[in-house]
Amino acid sequence: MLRAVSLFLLLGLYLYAGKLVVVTNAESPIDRLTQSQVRTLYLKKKRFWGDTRLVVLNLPPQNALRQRFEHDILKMDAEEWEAYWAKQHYMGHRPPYRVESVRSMLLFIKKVKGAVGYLPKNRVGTGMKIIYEGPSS
Amino acid sequence: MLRRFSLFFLLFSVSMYGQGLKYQLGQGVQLGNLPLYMGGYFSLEYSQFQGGPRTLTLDELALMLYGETDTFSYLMEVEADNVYSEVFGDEASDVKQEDFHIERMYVNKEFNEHYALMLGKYNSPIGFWNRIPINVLRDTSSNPVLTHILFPNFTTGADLHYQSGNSYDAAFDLMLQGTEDLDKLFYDDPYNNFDIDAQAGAGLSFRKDAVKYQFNAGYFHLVSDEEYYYLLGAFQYETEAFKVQASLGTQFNGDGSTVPYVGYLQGSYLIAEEHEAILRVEAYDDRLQHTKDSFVVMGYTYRPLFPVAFKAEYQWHSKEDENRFLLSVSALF
Repeated sequence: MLRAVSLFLLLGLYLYAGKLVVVTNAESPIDRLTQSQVRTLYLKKKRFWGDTRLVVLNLPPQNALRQRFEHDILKMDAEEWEAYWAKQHYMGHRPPYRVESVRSMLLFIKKVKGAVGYLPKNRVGTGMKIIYEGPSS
Repeated sequence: MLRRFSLFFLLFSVSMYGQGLKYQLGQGVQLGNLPLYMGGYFSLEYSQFQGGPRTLTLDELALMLYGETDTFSYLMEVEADNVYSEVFGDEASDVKQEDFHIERMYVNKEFNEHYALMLGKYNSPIGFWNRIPINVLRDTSSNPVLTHILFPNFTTGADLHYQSGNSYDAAFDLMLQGTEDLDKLFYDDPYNNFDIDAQAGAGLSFRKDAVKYQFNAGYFHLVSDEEYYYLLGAFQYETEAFKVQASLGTQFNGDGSTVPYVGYLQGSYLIAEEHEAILRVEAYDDRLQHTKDSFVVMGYTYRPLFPVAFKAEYQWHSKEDENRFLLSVSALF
């Protein structure tokens, strides 16, 4: 019985830690986003929130967390993403700012008011707030 | 031109090397740590009219520099159009055109999440095709006739842009031009489909679920002192595999209708990940050119990577001598 309960708790802990969330700086004017608003921000169709300029962050294409974010939250595959940004390149727009690791994303979000990024829920710390919670993994 | 182009490629290659594994085809390269990116595109086209000449053309060769800072973005694009054209069996008709023209050059200021003002030369935000008119990014090698005869492709002036930012994705554009084309500072011939010195236009677009609507109305004045008005309506329905698009326009002046109708209905289907089939029906009546035609375009596009396109199309016209076959290779880098 004890073993079953332990396993159940471990599974719960894993699911909680594995939940993907979208976060922003604690001072940011954004409080809550819908899934389609997250997509709008990541496609940079909305570059400001009120008067605050947004800096949307992304991990490298091979990063597993990014792939999960694209699949679960943006609902886009890598080809769709590439096609969209090729068109934007012609229009003179750049993709979200690329950071090389979750640690860099954390530091960036804590420092920049308009920064928006995604993290596993268990990595959310002080100086930031959750504005969207993705589905459990 | 070769020297200028070699210099560009040297700079591009050095910057690409500097970016290492970060470089992605179709997304340009950053110049050092400057807020400046470099890219470009080209297209090579083979065309054969039924019973007529066969032509191989280096159709587009363009270089772009752009960037963005806090609330400003800027872009400059120079293009050599119809750079080299070889007419098989008729060397006297070969064309070589080495001049780079200003295709776009503007500064854009975003005031907040709703308003932006663009100043300079830009693609007139009219209809669906004119916003991204380059071969590699459009559906077929050929553009619908509507984009050639209805409105000026480029505007030199201001564009006030409003976007709602809500789920309707509504946007409004107000275009104004009060001078000749920017490229006429350097060349006598206009780098635009109409030689204009004034225009004004408005555009409204919005989306409802999978359908996008676009409406435009405008006026333009030619250097030769003629003036025209146009109206355009368009919609697009898009799912993951299907896209249906239709546009209908009309043009008139003080004497009556100059283009009573011009339009198309197009369907495209993603057969497999990299393969797309396109079917388009077009019709127009251009009373200025005394031309009336209706035709069908059947096209196929293969994209091994999105920024590289191999396209084939065949056009069946009501005028048989206009039937033609087109093949093209294009890339964005």
